[in-house]
Amino acid sequence: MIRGNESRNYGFNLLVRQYQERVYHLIRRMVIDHSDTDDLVQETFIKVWQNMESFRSDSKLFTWIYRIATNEALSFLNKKKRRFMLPLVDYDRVLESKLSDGHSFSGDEIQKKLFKALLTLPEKQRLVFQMKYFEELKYDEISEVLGTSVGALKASYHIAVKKIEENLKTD
Amino acid sequence: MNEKNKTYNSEENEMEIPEVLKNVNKSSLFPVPEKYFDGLPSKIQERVFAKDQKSVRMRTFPGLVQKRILIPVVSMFFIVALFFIFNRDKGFNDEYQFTGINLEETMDQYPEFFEDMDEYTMIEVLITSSDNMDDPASAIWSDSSITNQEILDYFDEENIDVEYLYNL
Repeated sequence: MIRGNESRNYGFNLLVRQYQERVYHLIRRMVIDHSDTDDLVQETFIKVWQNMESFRSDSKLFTWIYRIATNEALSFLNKKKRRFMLPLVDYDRVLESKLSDGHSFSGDEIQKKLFKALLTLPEKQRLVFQMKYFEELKYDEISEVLGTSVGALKASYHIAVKKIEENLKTD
Repeated sequence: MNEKNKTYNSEENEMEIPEVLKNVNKSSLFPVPEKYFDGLPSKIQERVFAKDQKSVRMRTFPGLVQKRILIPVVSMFFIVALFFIFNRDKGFNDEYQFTGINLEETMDQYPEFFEDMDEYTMIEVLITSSDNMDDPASAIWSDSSITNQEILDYFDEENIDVEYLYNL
């Protein structure tokens, strides 16, 4: 339905309604801030609309949308980190401070510790952990989203869990 | 063992989740503004529509939008416009210069040229200097420095027959 000309708008609206929350939370866990997330979610769905013709039906729609969303989030973080190249300012610290400001994060102390520990991980490892732990996606689904082999993902997730466990224990 | 841990252990024979992570509540970690998701689809569609409109406008005149075409076209337009403006001004000035000849001033400036000239010769000079050879009377009268009445008085004083003009 989404690819037909007449029902394209209606179909796209349904698609946004279907996936907006999942995409939002995936991005929000990465960039923490609501307004940044809002921009990125909108950009994600605009790209979905613009590239609808190139979507191959043999892959799942949500993994395709997730791929666009993760690319948006990763390139956003990379841009921010390039902008904060000054040694006194670290963007991970900026994200960490957002966890404590009371507006961006409403979790309890354990959750805050978990997210602070997550911020110490490389971005892609963070994504793997989030997709596995929070989203409860299967490895082959994550593999389709990130374009990484299942074996590499398992290893990455294992390392991430160990790092987080150590981080939480030391705190 | 709760439902989530069952998923971890049964799905792909994965690693055991550490106890510390098992106790973390995964839901409602990030506050979302009220009714945010209600308005998001329409906000996205507005932006999609705006982008589509922009891309349609860009596709409507694709050739003209390219600088390599637009700049020469605009340059040519200005060159042609300047050519016409320049020539129009030149023609205007020529005309102005011709009609600006004042008979009295000319006679004052070149008295030796006019002192031996009889009235008929002067009229012929005026007529032959004019653009309007088909209407000799109007050619003479077009000099704004002389009124119609002055010409008629002059002809009357000098006993010149006005009919002479029409027989030239």
